[in-house]
Amino acid sequence: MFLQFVSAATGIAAAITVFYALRKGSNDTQGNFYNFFLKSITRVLLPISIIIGIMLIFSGTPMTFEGRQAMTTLQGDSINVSTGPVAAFVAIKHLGTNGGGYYGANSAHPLENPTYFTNMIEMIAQMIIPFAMVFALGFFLKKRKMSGMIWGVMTVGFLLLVIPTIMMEMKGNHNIEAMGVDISAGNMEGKEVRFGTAASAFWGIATTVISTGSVNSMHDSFMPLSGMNMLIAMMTNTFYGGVGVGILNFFIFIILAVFISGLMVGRTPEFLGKKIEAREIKIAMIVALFHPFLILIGSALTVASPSLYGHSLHNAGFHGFSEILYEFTSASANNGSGFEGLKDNTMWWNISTGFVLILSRYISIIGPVAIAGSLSTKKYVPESAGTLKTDNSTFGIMVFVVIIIIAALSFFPSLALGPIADYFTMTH
Amino acid sequence: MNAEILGPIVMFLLTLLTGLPLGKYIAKVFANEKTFLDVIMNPTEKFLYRLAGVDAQQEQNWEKQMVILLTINLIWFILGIFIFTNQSWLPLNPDHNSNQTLSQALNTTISFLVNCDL
Repeated sequence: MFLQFVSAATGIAAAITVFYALRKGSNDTQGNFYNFFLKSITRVLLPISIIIGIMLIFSGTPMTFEGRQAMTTLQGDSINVSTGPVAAFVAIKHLGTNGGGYYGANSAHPLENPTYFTNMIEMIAQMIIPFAMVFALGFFLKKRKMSGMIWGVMTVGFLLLVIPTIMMEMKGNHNIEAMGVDISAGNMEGKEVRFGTAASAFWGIATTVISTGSVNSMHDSFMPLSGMNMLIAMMTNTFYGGVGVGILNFFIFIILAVFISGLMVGRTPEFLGKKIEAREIKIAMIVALFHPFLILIGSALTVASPSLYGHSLHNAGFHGFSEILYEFTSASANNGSGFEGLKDNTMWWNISTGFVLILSRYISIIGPVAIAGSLSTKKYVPESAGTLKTDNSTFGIMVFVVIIIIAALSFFPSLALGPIADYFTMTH
Repeated sequence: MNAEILGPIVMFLLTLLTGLPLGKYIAKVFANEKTFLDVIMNPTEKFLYRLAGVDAQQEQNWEKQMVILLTINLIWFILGIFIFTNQSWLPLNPDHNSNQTLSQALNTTISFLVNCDL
């Protein structure tokens, strides 16, 4: 739990470093890291997680230092249920977009997420800081229009993923209807009755666009194209994104969009009065391409040598490939959810995903900070009539297109082999 | 459309409504302006800085900051591995869960460290 606080604080602190680096004028220093880091915990994470924790306790989430409790289930079996400081755990797991649940079933577990009300609290808790960081950027730099643009692009991307997913999940699977089962509640396999399909689908996408990775339903059992939407959510990894790091990822795409649109209109690319030059673009490209590189190489290596994953795969064929792809995407996006058909506690999965996790985390933090840092020391060029505006909707569309191109071009082939093939096998 | 769809819409709007003031608050905190938690947190922070022997006023450039970030992350990594491979005899383990294997501990620690929890 300590790590859940500090890792979230690391993300926030790194984002604040970027905020400082983007201040007006030419600066050689960007504030004090210890200061950012400690304040992220004492001023932001701790107070809010206490509030959320208390709300969860009143809704029935256990909070104790005692061990297992014996219970009798509805079927009359007697079982031992682990309890512990669950409420505190769950609060920070969402607030810090960590997503590691106290129980194996994560937020689908009745003690971790007892009611629809707690489901809403947990949902809001995981989205609130990524939202707030975007707005904080605007308030901090006194450029509220720009944060409006960023938030707008993120929201469009989010809605494009979440609306079709909710619709597909509520429609359900026709093959199951053909077997004579009532599917009026939608695709309920792997979902909890107390949340229903709409809220589960919303959670599924939200937890993947933000790097939370906590689940309140089993993603493996979603419809194939909903699974694809979750994969896309993690592949772009920037529609809101994790605490602090979401805005860092978005910053990379802004730099690329500034550069490309600068080339298109034949002007020197500038962002917030600083010239963007070869060095920044190189870093941005490395960071942007590293994410697909890790995912695709990881999946390809695994698929190429079946002895590596052994019996860990639950489904064969296209869906099995989706499971592998999902695992690596989730690792590289620092998400942490899984297609749980995959038994991932084996030597290969532990080590390979561990490796991917470390690389993808630190490169995507250091890269944007390095760009911002090098922009920070540059001479400030006042805005003129020739400056490309970076806070209007035209530029927003530009950023969106850059994100789509990078995600679509690098990931479409693998998506075609996994969820899309799965979809066509199912419908025919 | 049925009532079920209302749930996600309400959640989204609530997040937006709470997120806006929170964003303003975060901006204030990091611009070193006055906020309502100053009363409790200012002394706490001062105490922690003194305990750690850190000068929190000194300005740093971004390279220095990233070095600090990586160093403290490394310390947590070592600490995490130690805890997970020795948890059977460490305190606060009422259920007597056994030690993790090294590869599992490696994965667990990394995933907590990088804010992922795979």
